[in-house]
Amino acid sequence: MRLLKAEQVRKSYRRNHVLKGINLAITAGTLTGIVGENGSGKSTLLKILAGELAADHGSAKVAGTIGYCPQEPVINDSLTIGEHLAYFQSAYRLSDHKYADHLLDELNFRKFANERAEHLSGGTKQKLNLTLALIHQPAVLLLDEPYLGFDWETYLRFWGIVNELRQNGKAILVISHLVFDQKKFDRILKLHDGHLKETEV
Amino acid sequence: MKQFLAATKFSFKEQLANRFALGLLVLFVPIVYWMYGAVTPNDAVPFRFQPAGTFLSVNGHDLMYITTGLNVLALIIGFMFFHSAHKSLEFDKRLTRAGLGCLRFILAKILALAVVTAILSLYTLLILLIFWHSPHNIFVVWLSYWLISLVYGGFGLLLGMLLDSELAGFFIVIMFSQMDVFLQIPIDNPAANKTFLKFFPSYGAVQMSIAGGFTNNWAIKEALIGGSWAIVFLLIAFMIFYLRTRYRSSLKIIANN
Repeated sequence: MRLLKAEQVRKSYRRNHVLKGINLAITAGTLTGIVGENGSGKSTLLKILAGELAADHGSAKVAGTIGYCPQEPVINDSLTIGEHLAYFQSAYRLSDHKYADHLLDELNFRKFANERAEHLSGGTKQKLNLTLALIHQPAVLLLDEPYLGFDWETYLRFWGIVNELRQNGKAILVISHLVFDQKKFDRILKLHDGHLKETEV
Repeated sequence: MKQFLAATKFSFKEQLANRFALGLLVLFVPIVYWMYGAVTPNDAVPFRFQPAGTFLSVNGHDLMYITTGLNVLALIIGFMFFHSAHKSLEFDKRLTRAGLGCLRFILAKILALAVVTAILSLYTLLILLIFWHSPHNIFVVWLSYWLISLVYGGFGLLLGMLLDSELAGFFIVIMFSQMDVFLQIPIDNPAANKTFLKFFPSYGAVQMSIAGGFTNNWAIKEALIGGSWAIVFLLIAFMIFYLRTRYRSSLKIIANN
């Protein structure tokens, strides 16, 4: 089942034509990677798919809920990790945040649950950023450089979580300027000169 | 209701976490009262008191005390709310995208603003009373302090949601608040009786503070003018917030699972 579809997405910043007609479809239970050089427009594309940014032309349709993990952690320095979870539980109208608790254990940062975000390391902030994107177990996951700042152990655990989500029928899109383990993906697309091209996995 | 309570609790906590601004207020208020009090003579100063349509002859030393509180509150509360709004804008946007009702969120922010400013203006009043024991009506003076805090809290929120540059926001809060209050006070500005000064944000609070300090009047009409500034600032602030948090037109979410 197709959960995300983008058609003829174009975006320019003044004379810089970053996206020149992107077509993309992602189905349930698949993991798609988009790679590209710095400044190739990966984050711009993801922001358009997440509704954070308007395209100049084209459309994006998503069936179901979106979980968007931005590249820079979007968290509140004055709140603890536990308070973040409670706040987002309330925002998503969830009856509990058990899945987020599961991620605290999986990503090994439960010990910081009562720490204010301003006192967390960059890697732990990124773990929280990712957890907030997944707390409601969305149908479509849009992850922008999600493992940036993770140590090797956490990096491996991250892929464990992603596999679990894929098996549960989520459509996952990861963008990164570097893809170490191409075999983890079902599909890898390269964003170059404003167009997406299939590459061999 | 749960969302509103959560948003109120965490908005309140966010303000209290701004230790720098709170510390600044706690330390700065008594120091400024002491310093300004030490350098201002007791000479009588004519003050154009609008509720009575007349000039009052007030003690310059006491006038300086009462308006110093307004000055400090405008500056620090403006800075505090600018800082928090600016810093948490992306986070707040993420929350509303997650489903936190925009109206509930806005009401929670306003409630947090009202409670925090009520407490901080009360603190400023208590310090004032250490230096000046005999304002005519303490309650009205407190209301005027609360009013200026609401006006500049709203102004800070507006700037926080509008500006991308933190430095620009700080400068605007400092310049605008100082100019505004400065122009209303005859010690600083001998031409403080000019009619156009009625249209400045601090006008209502300054008139009300003089009413409380030296008369039986409550300056209700002037306070309402001041209050309308707070409402206008907050309305614009949250309109900007709404525009900045809405989904972009190219995305269509077909159905929620």
